[in-house]
Amino acid sequence: MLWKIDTQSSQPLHEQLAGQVRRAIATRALVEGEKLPPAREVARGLGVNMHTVLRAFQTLRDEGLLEVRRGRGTSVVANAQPVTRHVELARTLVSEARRAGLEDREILQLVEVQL
Amino acid sequence: MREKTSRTVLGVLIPVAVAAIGLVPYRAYRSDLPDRIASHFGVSGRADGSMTPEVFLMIFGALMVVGLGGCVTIALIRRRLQPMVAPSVSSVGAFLASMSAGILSITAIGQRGLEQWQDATISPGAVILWIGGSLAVAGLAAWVASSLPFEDGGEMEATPQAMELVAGERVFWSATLSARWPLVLGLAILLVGLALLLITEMWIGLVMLGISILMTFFGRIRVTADQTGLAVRYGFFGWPRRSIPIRRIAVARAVDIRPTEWGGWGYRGSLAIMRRAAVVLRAGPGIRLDLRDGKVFAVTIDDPDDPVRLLNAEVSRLEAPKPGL
Repeated sequence: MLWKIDTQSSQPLHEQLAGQVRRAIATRALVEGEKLPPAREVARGLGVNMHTVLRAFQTLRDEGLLEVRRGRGTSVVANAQPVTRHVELARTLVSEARRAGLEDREILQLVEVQL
Repeated sequence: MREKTSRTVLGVLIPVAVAAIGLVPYRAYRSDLPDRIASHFGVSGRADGSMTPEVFLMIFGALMVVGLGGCVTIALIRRRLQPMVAPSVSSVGAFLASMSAGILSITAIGQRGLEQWQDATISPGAVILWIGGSLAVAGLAAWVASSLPFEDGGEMEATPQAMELVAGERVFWSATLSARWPLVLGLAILLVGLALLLITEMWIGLVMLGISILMTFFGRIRVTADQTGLAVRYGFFGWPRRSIPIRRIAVARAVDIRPTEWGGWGYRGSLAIMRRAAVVLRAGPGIRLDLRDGKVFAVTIDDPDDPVRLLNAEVSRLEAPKPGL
């Protein structure tokens, strides 16, 4: 898999990295069960802090896309591909709602009503 | 090294030197040897097998001739051979010949003046000199043979491509490749090793156990490419690691690797001795790096276009004048 960051972009580096993994899962460049390279290596290869990479991995784990196991590395969870679509929809919802002036509490309420 | 010099070293100097080491002491001390000479030694260094000096000379003389024949043949062939063939044949031939010459010489010098073969011993120092010297001659033969011209073109059709990278952009690429054959072969060697450990001398079994562990390194490789260069990590723990720094790379290409052209499967060749090295897990796509000093490194991996384009971009970024200079 190809990891690319733009150090001159206004988007934080960890978000750029997380976005790349999401895209890779959505396009099947990363398949279910596939192991990701260790965060240390990705960080060294890109010349960024390891915590930046770990933060991206944590976000993706919280989104239910990655599985982080101590000593066994980070891998893509089963059925990650359909989940990427929901993650993207949720991200779109949040950014559109914020742009429309909604508070975070109001966005949560909006989702809860639909449950 | 010039081609003519290489052919002379390989076809004349090495054979004459090796034959002299093997035959001169044997001939000089032939009359001082016992009726039967020790031909096999136990781990303790004491003799436990014997044969007549004539049979001994015939066996190791023949092996020496076969080995040196390989070197001389390579030196005489004018046709361009496939890469790795000349260094591989020369080094195996030189090793076989040196081992045979060495044992003739050690036997003649060590056993002259003995009453009976049972009194013969072999010292660890002599064994180390024997094996180390043979490896050195084999390395020299491979190094000399690697400067002979060879057939190289079949895989060079691809024009090198580079990724467009703007200032501030950084790219990292990583992929893994697994193969089953090293694990199956490793397991088979392990079982044979265990069996030998029980029924015969321990060191044979231990050597085979060691080989089976080495085989597992080729069950999986992980290849990474970034601004620092290319790295290959072996085995399931990512160790050992082979890196080619970006400063050494002249150009990267996506190629189709045929194991026969690289001397087989596994880690083939040596950058230091043969000027070419390849990590071959299977036939098919791979990355070929032409280094600035004319050496070549290759590794099999799926979808090699991205890393190749990345490495070429980093090479040209390195060559581009730095702003402010």
